[in-house]
Amino acid sequence: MSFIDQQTKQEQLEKNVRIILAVICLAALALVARLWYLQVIRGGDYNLQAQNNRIRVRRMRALRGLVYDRHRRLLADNHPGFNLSLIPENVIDIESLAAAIQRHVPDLEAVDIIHRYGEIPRHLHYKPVKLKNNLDRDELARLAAHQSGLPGILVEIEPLRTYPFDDDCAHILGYLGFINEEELSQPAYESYYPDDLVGRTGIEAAYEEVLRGTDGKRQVEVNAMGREVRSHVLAAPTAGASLTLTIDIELQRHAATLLKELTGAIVALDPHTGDVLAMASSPTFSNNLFAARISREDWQRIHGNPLHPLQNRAIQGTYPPGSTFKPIVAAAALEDGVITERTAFFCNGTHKMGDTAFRCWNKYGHGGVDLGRSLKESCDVYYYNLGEQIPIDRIAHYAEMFGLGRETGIDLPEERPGLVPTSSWKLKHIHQQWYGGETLSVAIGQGYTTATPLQMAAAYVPLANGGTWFRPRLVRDIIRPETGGRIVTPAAPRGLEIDPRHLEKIRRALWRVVNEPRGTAHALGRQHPELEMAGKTGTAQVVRMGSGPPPDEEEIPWKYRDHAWFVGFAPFREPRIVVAALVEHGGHGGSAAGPLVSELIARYLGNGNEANERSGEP
Amino acid sequence: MSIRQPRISRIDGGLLLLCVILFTLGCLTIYSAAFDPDMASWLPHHCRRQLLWFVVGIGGMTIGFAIDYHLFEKIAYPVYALALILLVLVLLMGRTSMGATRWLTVAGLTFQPSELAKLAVIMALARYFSRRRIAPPYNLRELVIPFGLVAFPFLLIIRQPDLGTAMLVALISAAMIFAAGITRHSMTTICGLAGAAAAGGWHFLHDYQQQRILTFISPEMDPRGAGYHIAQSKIAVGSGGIWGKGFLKGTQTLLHFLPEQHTDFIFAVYAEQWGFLGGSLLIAVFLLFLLRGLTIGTEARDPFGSYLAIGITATFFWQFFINIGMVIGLMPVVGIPLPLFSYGGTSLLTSLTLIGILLNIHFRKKYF
Repeated sequence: MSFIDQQTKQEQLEKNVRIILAVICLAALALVARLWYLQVIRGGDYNLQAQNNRIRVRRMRALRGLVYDRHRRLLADNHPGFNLSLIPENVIDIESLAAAIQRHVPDLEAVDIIHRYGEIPRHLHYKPVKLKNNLDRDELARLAAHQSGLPGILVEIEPLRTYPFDDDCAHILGYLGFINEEELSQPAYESYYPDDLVGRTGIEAAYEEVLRGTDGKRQVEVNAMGREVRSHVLAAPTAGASLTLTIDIELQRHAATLLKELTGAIVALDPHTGDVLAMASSPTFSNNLFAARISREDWQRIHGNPLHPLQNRAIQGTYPPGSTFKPIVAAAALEDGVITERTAFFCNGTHKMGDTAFRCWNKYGHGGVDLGRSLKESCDVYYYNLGEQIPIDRIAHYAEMFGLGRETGIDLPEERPGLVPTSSWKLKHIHQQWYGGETLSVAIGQGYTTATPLQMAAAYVPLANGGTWFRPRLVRDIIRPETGGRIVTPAAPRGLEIDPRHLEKIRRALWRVVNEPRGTAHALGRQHPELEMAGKTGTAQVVRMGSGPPPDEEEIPWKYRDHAWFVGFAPFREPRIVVAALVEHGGHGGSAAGPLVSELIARYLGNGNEANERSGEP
Repeated sequence: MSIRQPRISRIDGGLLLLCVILFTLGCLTIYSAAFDPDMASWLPHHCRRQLLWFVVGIGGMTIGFAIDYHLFEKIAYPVYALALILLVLVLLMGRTSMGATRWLTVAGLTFQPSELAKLAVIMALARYFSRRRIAPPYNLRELVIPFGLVAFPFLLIIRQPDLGTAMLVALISAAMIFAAGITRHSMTTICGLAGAAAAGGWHFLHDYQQQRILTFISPEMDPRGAGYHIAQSKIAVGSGGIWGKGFLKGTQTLLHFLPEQHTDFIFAVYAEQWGFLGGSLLIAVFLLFLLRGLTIGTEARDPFGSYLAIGITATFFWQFFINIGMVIGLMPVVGIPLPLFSYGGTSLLTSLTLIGILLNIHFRKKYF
């Protein structure tokens, strides 16, 4: 590089640096001038603001949306709950205060209170620290009586979620839980704060976003001592939308009562919409216990129960459908042309395939059996014969058409899909070929096949209404409180690709089950002839029986007894309700589960006008 | 003939002293920001970490000083290329946090390639102008290559999106190009274009960025978010008055009204305690520091040294001006720390390394 080049560059540089220097000085001067303005000219103002008017924005929690049943009866409400807090800066003597609190509120340990007090940094002493949520009436009364002698405590009111029907529909509504730190760090919970409640199960979880509402903001001025001086609302909170459920709480309570001493589930559907009219699972739990922080003993009692009361058996319990599966096999056989209505098989009590003997539940045999009798008397041998003629994958095809083997899509979280086995399923999951004999088990609803009570109820909807499956729904509409805007959940029908004449033949056979002598549920028909009920019993084996005669039901230990099923609908001519009941280890379907269904249907139709007028009951 | 001076006197003691003064004041302010009357430890966590980083920074400074800066001239373009590659990599596989992708993780260490890009652009421009055979001032056509050198990293950083750093790169480069020489006509054209681009670029800004600028224009719009920061920051600074409230007596600081009070808003903590007098003094110290930087630039042995020193000085100037301007409500809120003052390891390490390079240029100047 030449010297001249360097020279001109240097000259140019020095000239420009002088300009840069001037700019820098001007910038510094601007900063100083601004400081002068803020600190000297307006210093007094700002000093006053610093002393007296410290502005903060506080959150106004939105009220959670309400939940109603189909007749607008309140199922989930918000009540004022009383919380006990401590204001550190007002405490005079923490030791005696803590002892007094322990006397009035026995849950709280004085040592813990003193320890927590010690951990609060000094600059946060103006802020209330929550000691207990949802004080009970006695605690509140004792505290109120002694409040003046207890400087430093504060009783605050916050909305508390309450469920008037408590354990009668706890599984449907679900419960709330406090948000945890892991969730708070996820983008999905961006607008949540620590101490917020979130729906954990049921409707509360499924409709969390809708029910939650939008929090508001309040601008608060605090003085130098940190006390609120003034506040005004920046944005009012918007309460969450309210939900109208499809259930009828009276029917729901009745279903819960019917199940009281049993383990199992009942589901009632409207066959023209898929509306869930009732859905009960037993044993149940009290969701009100979760609304405030649940106590350790309560949690352990619920969680430690071997029958898992938190599980909603209606959508999460999967059981072999037993004979309630037979109408689906019958539909498959008719539709695929394997049989006609008049095709008959002879039942002598067993059916031989190779070296294996498959037994009918009636060891004396049914004699000659056609389609109608096969369902009415639930002849197993008839279905073993069908199982030999219909390939497993065809049975699966029809079972899926009736909504088995996958979630129904009801608006509840964590529904289980059950299982409809196919040959490729077995190869993939058990790594074995499908054996012909297994199809025979499937044909009577045993083997790998499982379904939830909700799925079975939904599968009988097309049998009741003549061929349309509906996705079950729990929420009928969502109403925005501020605008009154209403979002209606539409019914979701799907027509079955099965000849309606075939379905009608099966439907008639299901009527005979209840209303003809020797029908497996004839006892129900005799008791409630006015219901015109149709249905099917089912008995799901828990343990595979060995050869030899089946032992007496009474002699088997409870947990090895069969599950009892009954799925029915009524009135036969124009069905208005479909009910599925499952009783775990209940024994025979007709006697254990059947009465639950007929009682519930009687209650439903009895409350309706039609049945009332006819029978003249009040 | 020149008389060889003793080597030790060729170290710029003035610059070192100013640097130590700034760091010490910064440390005291961080201490007061973390101060709590009931504090368990005499040395709060943040202070301890800052001192630890200072030791690491001294290492960086020594390296910046010890390597003959002419080596930087040789490796300028490879470093620039590396920086570009890293910026592309960060877009492809970087770690995303709060909507922006700025971090790369290599062997467990997380760093921001845009930090390296700043230095790389300074070195690349210094090298380019020092080897240029045409005499300055340059017109637009002659400046196509330097503009390109700036444009690539600028666009890649904006894409992350990190508007603050991208603007910083642009401003530093503008200062260097101006120092190297640009014709008056070209400058007018560029200012016009930049203004038009800023107006047009509004639509490409993210919502939160638009929000920040709107908030700056009218803080009342968002009393909770950035507006809250500015309002509280102004109250803290303003309530300091002429004399300040005294060391450890800042009420706004003690009650934690200020957000991020030991990092980006550290100047507010300082100004509340030391008032207008202390604030002006700090600005004066910074001014002296920048003056030293510019002087080192004009006295350097060769054009590369000059341009490098000016680029580094510009880096300090813009951070200093934007940060304080933001705290006292002259600038929108952008996440740029006050160099040598704010709490933060990366910032301190970078600053001390850059000062090492300034000392390096001064050390190797011509002594007659």
